[in-house]
Amino acid sequence: MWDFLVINPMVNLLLVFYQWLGHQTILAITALTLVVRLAILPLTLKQQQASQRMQELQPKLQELQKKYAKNKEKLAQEQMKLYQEAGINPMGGCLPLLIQLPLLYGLWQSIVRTLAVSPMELLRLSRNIYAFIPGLAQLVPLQSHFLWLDLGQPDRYLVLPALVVVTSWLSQRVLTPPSPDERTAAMNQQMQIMMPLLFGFISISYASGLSIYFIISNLVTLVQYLFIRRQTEGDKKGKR
Amino acid sequence: MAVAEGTLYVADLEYVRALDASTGAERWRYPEDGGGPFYTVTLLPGEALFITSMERTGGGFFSQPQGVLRALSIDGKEVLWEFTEAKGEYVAPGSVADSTLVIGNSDGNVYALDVKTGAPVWAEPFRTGNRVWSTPLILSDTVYIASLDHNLYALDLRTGQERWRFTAEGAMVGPPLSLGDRLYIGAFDGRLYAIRQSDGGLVWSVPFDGEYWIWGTPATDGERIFAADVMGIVHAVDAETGAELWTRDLEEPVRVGLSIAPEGGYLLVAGNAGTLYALDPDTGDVLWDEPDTGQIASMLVHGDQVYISRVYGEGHVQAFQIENGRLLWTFPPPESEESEG
Repeated sequence: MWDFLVINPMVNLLLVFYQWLGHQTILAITALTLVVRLAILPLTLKQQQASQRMQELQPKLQELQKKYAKNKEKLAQEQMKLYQEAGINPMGGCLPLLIQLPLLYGLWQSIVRTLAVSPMELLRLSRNIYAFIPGLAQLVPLQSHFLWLDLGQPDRYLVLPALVVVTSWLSQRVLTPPSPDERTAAMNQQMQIMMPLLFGFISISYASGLSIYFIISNLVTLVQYLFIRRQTEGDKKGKR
Repeated sequence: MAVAEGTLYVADLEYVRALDASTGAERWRYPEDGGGPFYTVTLLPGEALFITSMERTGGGFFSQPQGVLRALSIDGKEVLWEFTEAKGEYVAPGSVADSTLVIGNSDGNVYALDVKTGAPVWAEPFRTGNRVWSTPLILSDTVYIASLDHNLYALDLRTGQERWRFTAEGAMVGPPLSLGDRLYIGAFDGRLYAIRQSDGGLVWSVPFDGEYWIWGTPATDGERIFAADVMGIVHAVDAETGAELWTRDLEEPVRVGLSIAPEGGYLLVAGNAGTLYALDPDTGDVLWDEPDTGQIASMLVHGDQVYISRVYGEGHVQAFQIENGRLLWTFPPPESEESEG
C-alpha cells in the first residue's frame, strides 16, 4: 500500500523528469524535490507561520515565567490565555509536520530506490515502474556519473556530506524557535548540532544522490523561511 | 558458482567454499574466520580461483567499500595476488582465455588481467557509460560484454580495443548467448535480439508482450532460443527467425539466466522467490518444480545435476537431480544430519 500510494508515483515522476531533462539525474532529483516541496508548501507555510508567531510571543511568555515562577498552575493558565488572545494553537505546528514527514520520507525512499545500485534493488525497482507510460522502463538504470560523483555511491571526497552538514545546520537554526525555558533551549541547541551531524553521517554512508536531495531540500527550507520572514515583516509595517 | 573435477566452488557472501559436488561436503573455505561479503567465483581449472568481494580498504572512519579481486590457489590456501584498482562492486564472474581474466565492474570498466600476476593486460581498462554487471563471453580473440549503458561491446582480447558495439533501446545485463555466427541477448526494452557476431549487425529483434525487462542470459537447444522476463514469463522463439513458439507464465520474477540440460529435454528456470522449475522445451509445460524460500542468486547445470545458490534461506547451496527434481544434498546440511554425522 505504501509503495502504491507514495513510492510508485514519486519513482515514476522522477523517471519522467529524467526523460524530460536530458537524462540528467541531478536535475531530475532537483525537479522532483521542488515539486514535492511545492505540493506540501501550504502545510510547510502553516507550520513555519505557527513557529514564527510563537517566536513573536516569546518576550511575553518570558515575562509570565518570571511573574509566576513559583506558581506553575497559574503560569499554565496565563500562557493558555495568551495563546488564545493571540489566536495561536501551541500544537498548531505539529499536525502539518506529521503529514509532511511521511511524504518527505517517501521522497527519500523513492530517490534511493530509483538510484538502485545492486541487482536486487534494480529488480525491486522494476516493480515500481508504470508499464502504461511508454519508455519509462527503458530509462533505467539512470545515468549516475556526474563530475567526480557516482550518484549511486557515497561521495569519496566528502564534498557533498560537508554541504549537507552546513545546509542542515542553517535550516535547523532558522527553523528552531528560541525558547524561554533554559532546558528546552539547551536541548534545541544540542539538536542543532546533532541533526546536521546525523545527516552528514547518512551522506557518508548512502548514495550521493540522496545528499543532493538533502542539500536541495535544505536550501528550499531556507528560501521558504526568508520568504515568510519578509512577508511577516511586511505585514507588521503595514499594520503600523 | 563453478564446478570442475568433482568440486563445486561457490561464493556465499560470508565465505568462498569448495564443496564435494556429489555429496555437498565442505572441503575447504576461505577465509577461515569469515569476511567478504564475497560475490563471485571464476575458475581456472586446476590452477586458480578468482574471487571478488566488497571491502573497506585504507581503514579509518571515512573509508569507502570497494571491489577487491583476488586470485586464490586452487586448494584455497594461498592468495596469489590482489587487484584493488576497480572502484565499484563486481556483480558477475569474469571469464578466462589466453591467460587473461576479463571481468566487468560497477565502476563502468572492463578489466583484463594476467592470470599469473594480476597485472593489467590492456593499456587501460575499457570504459563503458554505466555499470557492467555481465560476465564476458570470450570467443576466439574477441570479448563480448554487455553494459547497463544499453550497449553490447565486442573488444579485442589482447588490446581491449573496441571492434564494434550494438546499441539496444534498454540496458543489458546478462552475457550474450552464442549460437552459430550469432549472439542472442535480452534487454530492458523487453526485446530479444539476434546479432551478427562478425560486425554487430542486427539480424532480428522480437518485442515480447508487456515489454518487461529481460535480465538473464537466454538458453538454446540449437534450434530454439529460450528467454525469461522479470515478470516470470518464459518465451521460446525460433533461433533462425525469432518467431514465437510458446510462452509460459511462472508468475515469479526471473533474473538468473536459463539453462538447458546437456541431454536436452529440460529447460531449467530459477525463480527469484526461490522456486526451481524444469520446463518441457517443446511445450513450456512445467515438468517439476521445487518451491523453497530464499532468492536464487545463481544456477549451474553440470551433467545430470543442477546446482543453485541462495541469498537467503536455510540451504545456501542445493543440488537437484535434473530428471525428477529430487533434492540430492543441501549445504549446510540440515541440523539433524549434522548431529548424526
